[in-house]
Amino acid sequence: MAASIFDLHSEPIPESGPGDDCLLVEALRAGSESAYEALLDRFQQPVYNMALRLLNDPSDAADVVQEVFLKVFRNVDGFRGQSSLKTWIYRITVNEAHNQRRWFYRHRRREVGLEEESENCRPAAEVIRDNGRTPFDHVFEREKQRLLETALARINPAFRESVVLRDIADLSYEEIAEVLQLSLGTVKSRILRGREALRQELQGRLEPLPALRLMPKTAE
Amino acid sequence: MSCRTVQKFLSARLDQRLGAEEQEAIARHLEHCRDCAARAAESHRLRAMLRNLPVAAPPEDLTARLRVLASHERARRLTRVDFPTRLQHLAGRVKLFADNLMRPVALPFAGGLASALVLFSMLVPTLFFQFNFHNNDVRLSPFYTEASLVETAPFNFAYGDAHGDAVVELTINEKGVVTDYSFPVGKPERGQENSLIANLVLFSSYSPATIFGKPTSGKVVVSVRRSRIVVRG
Repeated sequence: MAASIFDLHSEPIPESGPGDDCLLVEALRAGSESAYEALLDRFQQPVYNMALRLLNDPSDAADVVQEVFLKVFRNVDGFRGQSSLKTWIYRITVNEAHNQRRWFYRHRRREVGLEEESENCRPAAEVIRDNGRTPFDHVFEREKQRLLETALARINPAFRESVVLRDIADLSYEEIAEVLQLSLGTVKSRILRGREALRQELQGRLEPLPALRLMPKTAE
Repeated sequence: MSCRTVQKFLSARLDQRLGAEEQEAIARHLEHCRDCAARAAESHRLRAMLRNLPVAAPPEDLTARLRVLASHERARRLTRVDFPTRLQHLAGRVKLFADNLMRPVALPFAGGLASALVLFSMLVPTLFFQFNFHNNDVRLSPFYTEASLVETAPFNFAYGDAHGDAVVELTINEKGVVTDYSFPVGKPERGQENSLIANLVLFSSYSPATIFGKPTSGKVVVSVRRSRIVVRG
């Protein structure tokens, strides 16, 4: 009942598309409830995922996502449609992640968490996603992911942003240039250097160690 | 093309941002250079791993926090839009407020009102219990019957012509017996006449007043006039 009372613009908001950003933004400006829901449905997941990859900390990522949406809701009047809505929101995300990282280095760098990792607290059925794989496969895959996440967290943040936007968020070079407010050449260079840094971080760590071999020897 | 140049182009090659000539030149180089081919394969694998990183689901509390945030921001925005929209929004809020206020109390209120009406309608007739007798009163309630005179005294107490009229108010108990009498208009002057009236009244028979069919005490006004009794009221 309450939703229908407040819903002043009840027409459905399109999910995505080049011209639909304008409709969504207009509906947001008019205070349409469905527009707010559509925005959250469309961007909550990718923004969280990107923040997590940029910060490598779930609680920091959640804080960043909240800040991002607060800024989006408050500054939607200032969105002039020169870039796509996705690019605009991703730019805010990158900036907020950058601020969070700076705040972290100032305040929380020396803190030590007492709680276990969240995954360890979850039931096994949730953690093991693919029942067809053997436990070894699962552990091996998880270990590789962890190595990759650690390596990603260790490379230069400027390079990391570019790599995350390109290889995880799947943005084009032009979109990355818009998000990071950089020239296309700088974007190319950063992606190249980011990938190279990542490769060096992981060098020799992703291949399994050679198995123990017994060399037969004739007794003298 | 040197190995150094090829390795520089590997990243752009992954993203298919090279021209046809460069693509071809690199492909030719990779056929012959094992180091660069291994580097290219490694780049491919790394990129596939990055793309296959699991998509992290936002925590549930974050989803709830974002919905609350959206609701607050929307309410905040609606206070700044044009006047008709604000008015519409305000009307909606008032309606919702009234709905939320009334809905929980509607059933108890209706039930309470109905039961009060039923109880009150049952109790109202009994409120006539306070008898306020006046000569001109006419009792209309079907649940109450007045006390009445059934039969006058069988004896003649010679309350003759010489005596004036007298009005006597009698109190009849639930057994139809006179328990008291008085002269509301004026007491006869002489004591003998007074006792004559008393005998007349006491030897008459009465029926008691009833309420819901049950005998109860009541009053009756009797007028005594020249050897006969007239009952009023």
